[in-house]
Amino acid sequence: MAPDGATVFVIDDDPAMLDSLRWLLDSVDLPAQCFASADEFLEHYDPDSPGCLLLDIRMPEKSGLELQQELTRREITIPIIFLTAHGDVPVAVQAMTDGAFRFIEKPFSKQLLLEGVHEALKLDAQLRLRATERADIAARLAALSSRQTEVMELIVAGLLHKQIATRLGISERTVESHRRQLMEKLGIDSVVDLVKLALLAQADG
Amino acid sequence: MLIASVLEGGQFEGTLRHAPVKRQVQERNIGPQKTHAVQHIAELERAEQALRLIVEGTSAKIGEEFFRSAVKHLAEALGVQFAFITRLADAQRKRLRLVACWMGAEHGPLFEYDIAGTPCEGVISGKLSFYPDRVQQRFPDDEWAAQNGIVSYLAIPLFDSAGAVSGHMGVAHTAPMSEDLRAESILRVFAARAGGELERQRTEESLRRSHNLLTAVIEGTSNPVFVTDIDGRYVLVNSKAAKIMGRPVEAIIGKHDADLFPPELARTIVEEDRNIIASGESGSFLREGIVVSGERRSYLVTKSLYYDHDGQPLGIVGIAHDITARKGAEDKLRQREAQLAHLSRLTTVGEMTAGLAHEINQPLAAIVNYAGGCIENIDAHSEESKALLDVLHKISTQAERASEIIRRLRMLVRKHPSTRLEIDLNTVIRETIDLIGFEIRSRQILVQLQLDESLPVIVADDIQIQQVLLNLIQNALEAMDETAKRRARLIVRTAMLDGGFVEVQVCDTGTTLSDEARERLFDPFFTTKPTGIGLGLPISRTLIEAHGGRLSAAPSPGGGTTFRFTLPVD
Repeated sequence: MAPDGATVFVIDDDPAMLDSLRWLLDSVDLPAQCFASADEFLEHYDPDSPGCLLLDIRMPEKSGLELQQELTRREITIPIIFLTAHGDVPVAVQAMTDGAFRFIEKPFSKQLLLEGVHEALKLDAQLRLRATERADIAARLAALSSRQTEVMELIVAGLLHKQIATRLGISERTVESHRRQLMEKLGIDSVVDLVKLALLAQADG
Repeated sequence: MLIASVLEGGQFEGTLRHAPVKRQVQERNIGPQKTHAVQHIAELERAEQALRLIVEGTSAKIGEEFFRSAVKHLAEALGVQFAFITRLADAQRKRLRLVACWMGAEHGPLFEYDIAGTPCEGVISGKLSFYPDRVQQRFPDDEWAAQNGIVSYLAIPLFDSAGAVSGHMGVAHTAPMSEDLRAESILRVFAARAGGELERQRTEESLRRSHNLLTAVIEGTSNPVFVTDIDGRYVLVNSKAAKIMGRPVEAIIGKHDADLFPPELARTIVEEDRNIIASGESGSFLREGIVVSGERRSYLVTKSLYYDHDGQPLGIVGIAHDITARKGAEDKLRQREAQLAHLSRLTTVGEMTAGLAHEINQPLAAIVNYAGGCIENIDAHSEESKALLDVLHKISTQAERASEIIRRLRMLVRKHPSTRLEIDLNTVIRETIDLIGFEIRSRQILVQLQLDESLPVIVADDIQIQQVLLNLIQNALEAMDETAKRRARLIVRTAMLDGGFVEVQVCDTGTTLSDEARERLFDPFFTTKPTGIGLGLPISRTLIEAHGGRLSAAPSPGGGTTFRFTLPVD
């Protein structure tokens, strides 16, 4: 079973491979969408739909590696499981350094493939969840006034209220008031959570 | 014949008046008082007597004996002191050599002399010479005439069958000689025979000379040479040919092939000869495995016909060429060619495999996927499905096995860069034994490491060397599966070899391989194991050869197999 709404996208130029993979995925109730080329996939793919990619490396028009680079350019993070009938070590190394999730040699056992697919879907779900969280935090941070943002940054930097007041040339009570309001806006009730959130936001760049 | 014609000729009648003959007649008591008729009969008898002497003197005698007999009888028949026969001693016809000389009572010395200034000069120009008297006055320079008191001289030239002067024959006497037709005729009778004899002698001599030449040539050549007659009897062999046949020349002459060779070879030779005689064309034949002085040798025998003057084949001349060395070189070349062809086949297979791997793995993967999907869709709890599930699993397993073969095959030929490090071979061996320790223990096999601790470090790819060792040790263990446990023993040995190589031996005491199996061990896909693929050893050999070493297999002295590989010390 796949996480809700998740799809396994299969791209291979060999019709028998496509058909047999669909048959295998169907048999374990994994929804699959099959494409005969990278371009056909790009045409139909909605980056918002969760899932993972089963990608053949050698294809006539656009190779698996080229598609991987294209997706990276478009900041699409869908996990990619490369399938190869060729077992090229240098190609595998390239794919992995470019961020491939897994590299599987054809033919592969059912277990090996399904294990990989499930892990990839899990990763995708996590990535999407974190992306949602980050978007939420960003939205909340954006709602703060510039003074509130200043105060938050100084709190996260570890300054005491008194030090913040001196630095901003305001009273300690005003600092306290800004803190309460900004925590309210962000929906958190402890300074610890505030630091965590700020760090998450920073990690996002 | 000649004698008969003289007898029937009748031309001597009334002229037989030579004094010495008369003396002979007198000795026979035919008195002077006899009538003319009686005298005539007596003369006839005398002629008969002279001819009888000729016949006695010359019949059944040849060569030197003939000449000696001829001069003696000639002198006696003509009643003269001296008779002689000569032959030309030089091509310029200036010198003669005495062949025989009668001195009246005995044979005289034989010598060569210049004809200039002697009565012989005229004879050699082809004419009869007759000097009835005063020879010494006529030829004052003739010392022989002076020494022997020669007064008269009669000689005629001797001719060969071509009509050329070959010598001369004549008589000389210490008293004047009458012009006597009978003497001349008798001389001619002798001369015909003497000329023939001279020629025969010369022919014989030239035959002997050419025979000597032939023998010298045949013996001088480094090739074995033999000659057979039309019936296959050996008429001539040189000592080299005799050596090959393994018996002395005398034991070969007159024998047939069947007397000299094993039946099969003899039949072959007879058949070859028959074909040559039938076709009239020469031929070359290969003889292999002829043992000469304990060594196996190969010969190429070229045979051709020789003919008589009518063009009828007389037999066969054979010349053998020892091609052992050439054949050895050819065999080696052929072997190397085969190896090269094998290598290039392997390379082709390798290149093909790389391309094919993709093409074959695609459908294999599809098969595995389809089977996997089926397995998921089948209700594992129904009895009927269990059999189906079993088969579906087998389908997957077989498809995976097929792809495993391709994977290994590709490994055999893949040119991946190897990293060469300084390694201690003994350490690599100990690590490998550790790696495979579980298998060794579970099989209860005794391991003996006989490692030369003074081994130098070598530069090699340790992973590849370990791969080879693992393969050899694994093979050794499997070879001992059928061996009694107390006999089963794995020995790994290292040693320094001359010429800058180290050697590793992996010996087992397991099943001894057949020669055929051992020869094919390194062929790809050859395996003696029921589940083997047959790529372990070819891969190992490729790896060792890539290091500049060699990997080979030989039977172990006490049964089992010993694999050994060498590696160069850089």
